Amino acid sequence: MIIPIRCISCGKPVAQLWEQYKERTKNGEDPQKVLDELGLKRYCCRSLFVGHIVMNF
Amino acid sequence: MEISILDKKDNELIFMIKGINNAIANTIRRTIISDVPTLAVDEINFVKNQGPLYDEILAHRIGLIPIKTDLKAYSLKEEATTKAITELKLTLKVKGPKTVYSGDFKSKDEKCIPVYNNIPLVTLLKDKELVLEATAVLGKGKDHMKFSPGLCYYVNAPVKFKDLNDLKSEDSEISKENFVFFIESWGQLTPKQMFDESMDILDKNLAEFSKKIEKAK
Ligand SMILES: [Zn+2]
Repeated sequence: MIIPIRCISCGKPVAQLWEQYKERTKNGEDPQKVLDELGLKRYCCRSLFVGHIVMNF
Repeated sequence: MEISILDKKDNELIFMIKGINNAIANTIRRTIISDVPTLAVDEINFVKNQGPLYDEILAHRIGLIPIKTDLKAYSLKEEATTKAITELKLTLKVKGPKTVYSGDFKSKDEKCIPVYNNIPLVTLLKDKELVLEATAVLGKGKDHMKFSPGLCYYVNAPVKFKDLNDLKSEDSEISKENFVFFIESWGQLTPKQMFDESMDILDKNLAEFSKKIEKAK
């Protein structure tokens, strides 16, 4: 799937942060730290990123 | 009633209102979430869509993109006078291989553009094309959440309130008439604009309400 534009629960736009998150976690950074720095403070938005699986088409 | 600002960021505003009750606090919250209008794409004319996502899914994604809103220039369709502007046209024309971003949209109004340029919409394979024309209108959060300008919530402040850290302590006595408000903007409007606009709308709604009560007498 492709990352949702907004958080399913609170409605915050999150898709603009996805590529940055993917890049940084791939380089070995701690997801928790990256999420904090991206400004995702509610657990609804955080779960969206942590549980997301990329499918390439 | 007394208002003091506790914290201020680009897209966040925290303030305290003293001397109101739960009903008023909740009215403010609900007015901000569901009555303050913003621009969002509401209709799309697909000319060509050779990408992997169906028209409907792509249209839904495009609708959720926050667009910077100039409330003075645009008016709601149901309240518009004949000369008022109600629509904003955006066009998109891309050819793969490429990931299509919200920044690829060309807006007819340079003030009203997508808030973020790097929202991925769809990935196109080689030589696949996507051509569309989108129409954004002003709308309210109660019609669709894509029109909602942001999030607003409040908590009762402790009686001995000094700064925001006091909200975390659990043993303090809670005041029933002091509220700490958190306004978070999704980017279409600033938090201050959201609050100001909500107050205007609340005024208008209350005036209409008392007029109707008058008639009913
Ligand atoms: Zn969320």
